[in-house]
Amino acid sequence: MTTLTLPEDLREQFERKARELYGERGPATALVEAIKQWLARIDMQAIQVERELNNQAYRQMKVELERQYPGKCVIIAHGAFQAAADSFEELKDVAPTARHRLAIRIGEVVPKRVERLWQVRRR
Amino acid sequence: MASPTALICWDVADIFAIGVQLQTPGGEVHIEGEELVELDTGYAGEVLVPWRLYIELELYGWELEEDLWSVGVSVTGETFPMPLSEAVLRIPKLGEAFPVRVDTFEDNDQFLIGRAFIRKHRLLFDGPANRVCVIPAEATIV
Repeated sequence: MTTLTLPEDLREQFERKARELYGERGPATALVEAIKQWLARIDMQAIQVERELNNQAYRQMKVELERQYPGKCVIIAHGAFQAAADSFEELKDVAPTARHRLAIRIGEVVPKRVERLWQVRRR
Repeated sequence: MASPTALICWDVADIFAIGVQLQTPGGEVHIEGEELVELDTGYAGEVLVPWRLYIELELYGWELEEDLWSVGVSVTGETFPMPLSEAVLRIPKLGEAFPVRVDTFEDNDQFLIGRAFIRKHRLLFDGPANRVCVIPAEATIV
């Protein structure tokens, strides 16, 4: 159980707004929603840290990977090369504790696009 | 004379869509059975997935390097990066699975199949009948 005391003005504003939106159970509902969003944000930050590490590592080892593993599927995780195989399916259990992995098919040319997404809705 | 080939079809209203199941290369699927996903010729990629689905399926564990990500441009001219991952698009009614690249972007709620996928398949848009069909590869169109 976690117990906390909010500053009076913040508590009043929070409870009033939450009840306006969600009714009598509003403060509890809003608090649960806020905690879920915070946890998701923290997870995304951790993923982003590993994403940057993995991309940086890949840029450094790209030439060497192209020499050693042409046509192979490779996994980069924890900022390092992990494994190579003929298919990604074979690599599903590689680096199970990694929050982020790069999955690269060595030597494949992937055209970069500009997508004009007119019907896309951003929340 | 060759016998007619049965088409694999979906009854749809308003949108043109086919029933698919998205799968990670590791085998996790986004839904049991199939979900109707809109075919959108205005989107150049293979599959655009909702951000929530990208996170739930942990597709960031199958991501391509950032240098290859597409750049999205919204109707207001806002640009944003589009993470790109390896995945598999299954068509359960057809009993087939196709390796695809999926795009997403933060807060996206659209699930679309785009031109890069459509171009590899033979599809029939039957407007008056409100149906979309896949024409089997072996079928001859005369």
